[in-house]
Amino acid sequence: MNRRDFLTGMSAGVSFLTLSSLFPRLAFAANGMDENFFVLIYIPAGWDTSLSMSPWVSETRPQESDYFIEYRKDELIKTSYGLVGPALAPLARYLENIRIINGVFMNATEVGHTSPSVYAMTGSGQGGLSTLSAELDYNVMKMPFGTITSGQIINNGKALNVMSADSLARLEIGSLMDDLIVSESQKSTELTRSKVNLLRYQDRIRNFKKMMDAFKGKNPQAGSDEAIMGAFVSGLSKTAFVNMFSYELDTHSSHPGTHLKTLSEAFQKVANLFDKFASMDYKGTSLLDKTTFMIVSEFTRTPALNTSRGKDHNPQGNSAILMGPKIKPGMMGDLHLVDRATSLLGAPYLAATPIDKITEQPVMRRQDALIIRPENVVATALAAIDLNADVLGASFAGTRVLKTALK
Amino acid sequence: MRTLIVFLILFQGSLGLASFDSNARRYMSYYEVIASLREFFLGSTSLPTGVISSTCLVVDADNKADLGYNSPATGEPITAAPNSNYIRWMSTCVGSYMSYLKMSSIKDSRLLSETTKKELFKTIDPNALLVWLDITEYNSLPESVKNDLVEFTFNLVFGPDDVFNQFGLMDAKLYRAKIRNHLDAQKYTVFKALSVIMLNYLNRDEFLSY
Amino acid sequence: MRALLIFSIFIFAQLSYAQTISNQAYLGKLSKSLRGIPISFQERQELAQAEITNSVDIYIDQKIHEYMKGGLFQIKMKTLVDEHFRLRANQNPFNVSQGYDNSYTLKTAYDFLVENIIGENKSWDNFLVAKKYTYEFFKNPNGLDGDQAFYGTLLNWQASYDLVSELNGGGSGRPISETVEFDPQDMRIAGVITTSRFLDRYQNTALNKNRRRAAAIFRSFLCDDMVAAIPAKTNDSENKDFDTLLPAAPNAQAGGKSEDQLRRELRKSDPHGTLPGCMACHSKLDPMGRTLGLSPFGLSDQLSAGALVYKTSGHSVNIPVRGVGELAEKITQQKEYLDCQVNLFWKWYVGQDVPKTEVRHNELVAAFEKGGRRPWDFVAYLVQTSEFKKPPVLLTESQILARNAAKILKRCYDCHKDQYENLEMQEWDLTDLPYGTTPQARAYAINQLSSALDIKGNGAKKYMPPKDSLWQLSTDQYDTLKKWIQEGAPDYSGQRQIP
Repeated sequence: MNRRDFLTGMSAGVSFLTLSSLFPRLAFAANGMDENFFVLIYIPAGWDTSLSMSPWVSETRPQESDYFIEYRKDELIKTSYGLVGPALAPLARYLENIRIINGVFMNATEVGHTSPSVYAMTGSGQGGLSTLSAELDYNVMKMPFGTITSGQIINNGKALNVMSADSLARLEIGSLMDDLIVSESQKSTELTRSKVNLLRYQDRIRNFKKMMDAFKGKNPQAGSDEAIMGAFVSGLSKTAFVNMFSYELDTHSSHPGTHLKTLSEAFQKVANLFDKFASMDYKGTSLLDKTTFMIVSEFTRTPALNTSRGKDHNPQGNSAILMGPKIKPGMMGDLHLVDRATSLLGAPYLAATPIDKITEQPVMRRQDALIIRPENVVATALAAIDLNADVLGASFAGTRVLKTALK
Repeated sequence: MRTLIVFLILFQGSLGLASFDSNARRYMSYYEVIASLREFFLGSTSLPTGVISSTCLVVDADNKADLGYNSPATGEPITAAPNSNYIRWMSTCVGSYMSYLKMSSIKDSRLLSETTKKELFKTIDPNALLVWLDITEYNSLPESVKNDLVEFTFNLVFGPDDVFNQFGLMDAKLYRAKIRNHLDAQKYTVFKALSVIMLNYLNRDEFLSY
Repeated sequence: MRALLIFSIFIFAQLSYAQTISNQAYLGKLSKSLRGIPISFQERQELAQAEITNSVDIYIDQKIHEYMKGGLFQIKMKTLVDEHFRLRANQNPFNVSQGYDNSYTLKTAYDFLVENIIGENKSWDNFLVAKKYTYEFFKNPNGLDGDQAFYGTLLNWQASYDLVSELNGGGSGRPISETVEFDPQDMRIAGVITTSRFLDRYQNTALNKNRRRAAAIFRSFLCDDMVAAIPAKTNDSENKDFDTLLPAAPNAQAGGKSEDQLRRELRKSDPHGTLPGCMACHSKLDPMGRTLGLSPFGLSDQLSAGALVYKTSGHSVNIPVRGVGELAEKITQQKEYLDCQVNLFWKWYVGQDVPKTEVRHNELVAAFEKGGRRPWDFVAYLVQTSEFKKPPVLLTESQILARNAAKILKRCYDCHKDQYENLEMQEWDLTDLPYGTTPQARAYAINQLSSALDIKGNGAKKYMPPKDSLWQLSTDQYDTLKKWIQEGAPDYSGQRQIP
């Protein structure tokens, strides 16, 4: 079944429409080839998967000292693949299109935010790679505007081509473009080469400007999201990185209520981005239908409340979301509770459940089992845009792809 | 030059510098280029509020990747050398400062030489200079004034020809001739011509690096 | 290949390239190097006048000193220092209205220390051995806060203020700045290391045993760069991960374990500190780390002993120290410290790619010493060197290729130099081009290198770097090395090493 047959839904009250038909679409002549686009969305500071992708669904509940659950079962959202947590409500319209990957293992011990966030966004725990979107542009797409970003890109030392989405939205080039004089014929520097590049793509840039003006005409608030769409459609970029940095999820204290609210707001922003992509025409279909999204955070949060009624870092388990034309909607993997009595860490935690190497079903055993790690999520996202994992370098070659997640 | 070294994130190599990737010749760093533009256009004149685009005045989340900000996490510049985003940023800022000059009351524009002013003031009222700049066609100017416009600003930005020539990229005279040819082929006002000159001069390695 | 579309860069050519830039170009370079902005039109005219009156040297000398005493020099150098320590606060050096910080942030002891060394031209060693701190804080009715609390714990400030001076009063929400000074012999204090800014930036955890701090000190003061990361997956680590995810349940005893027992077990499962590949660095980091168990919230009154341990060409250094103060003092006495700091200034003011012979390097070290290791003296010396005054020339593509290849190969040497096995590799500085004096030796070395990395096969059959290494080559890096070898593995001067 493809995602178009699957429009939800159960909670949004909209059923069996195509994504593209949900919105009146803005149409522009597309400059790019008919290609896949990729957007990495990062929700920083560690999301609580128990409120979202991996809720507690059983009638029997654990002791509150092991697992604090702030919702009733009837507050969970039904999907064709099971129940998801209340923080995903803003994404209701897209729940039948996304693939939830639960049980992503980041690290055995707590190592702060940096390493696991780098791991989640690059697929390399050793810092060997840059943020996936920028790495893809650098190694594969090599687009004139590179990766459009609304957050800081992790750069492991490559000359990445990165463009700020906000400054792109405010791009003031005008006729100056006609007046940039490149005079060197033989001797040239990086700066000269950049000028040549800029001039080579001036038609696309003008087209982009037209689009931005049209966006702003319809909505004066049009900004970085529209800049990403404009850059995609005008053939200036194929990858973007969106950091939902305005949301503070690091709820080491006062977690109940607060985290749910802020995580819901973050997913609302994701839904808004999806809506905008769906409303953008791209060669007879919508831009949403041509884009693969990967949504990550650095870890989930500990199941029990600490003494400040907060939830701490839980890198032993995490989740990720994929959505795209070649992603098969559904849910895979699992997170299970390691309770206080069993935990060697002195506190309960949510552990990534390994999956069977063949069936990819969660299994509580080691033999023939695979621990899902961020590199597997990255390799799967790459497969969804028809790329082999080795585009990220020889050391990434052969990284296991989660086949269940693909159509 | 492209940097090809891959370092790890936590304890990064120490090759980076305040500016873009460092070599014997380096680009001015992210805040230096901001300070230099301000110094060039305004000198000690106090900054007018709300006129110059903020991206040209402060390093912020929007411009720092483009300007070669050195990431505190890695000790490396985010981009190794000025890329096309940098040129776009510079163009925006040249435009912003030029618009300011246009609307400001600085009659004795720094961008015109005393010789040119003397020549111009033979026929126009000094108080009407800015209006004149904005309505007069560049191509209607005498050759000597056209040359002086290009040469005086060249000297302001780069200094004498030998400073420019020592970079080895291009001969100063040849470069100015190219600028002249470009301008002569357009129907620009004097002000627009000055903007174009500035756009090109300030986007040169000879200005941005040392 | 994108990375190989290398365009020429400017760089100083060989030392024999004797031409000197013009006075105008020199002053322009001085201004950008020292202040970060181009010279003014007026200065150009003054210089032209000085040329007429034959007083250029005097004028330029005057300008060097004028620039160094100016605020822009301090802002620029503070930025360089901040970036070197990776302590750059997320703030703008310039503000829209005042030309300085956008929103007021309290100046920490670290900020004052750097400004003091640069602004007052104090010995560079003060980054390690200073015992006097100034900082700002807001009066807090609920107790001490920020840096005041940080040093207060050591001075036992609860009721009385035992401070040297209060520079300006608070009131109406303005910050107060005050200065504290410790005894020169106080081994609990060590310049920039014992600032909350440094300790907060390089956080301590139960697992990292202060290694991040030790690594920052090795990198900043001894130019010894180490890397750390989540260890690469191995069969052994995979088993440990399964232990975490599927602990033998139910483990009735675990719940009853003391925190100490749990921590001990956690440490046992810390593969980063025990893997052989990691030990080369950890033998240096751990002894230093023992002196650095400090909190960013308050200094400890207890000394913690450790050692300064590292290997350098020809000898091993192992100096036991009673505390962080002695550690810092010992670092300033090391040759490697002097070399490192001299190279740092060279990188900042001349350019790291500008070659210098060993003799020249020693002259620079002597000049640094002669100037009392003070920044102004050394910077003034550097900007008057012939290397600074040489005009840039374009590098050839082969010369650029050699530099790019060497940057990659530096990673190999960085790791091998600390390893105790395989002496040959330990001593082979792969960045030292050309490899050997005879064509045969060079061909042999390049062949060895090429097969170890399997450069032809993009690493498919490589044995270096090891599969579980924290560092692996990217496809771009393979392409660079491939091209370098195809072009005859040119050395820095662009000469082919192999036919």
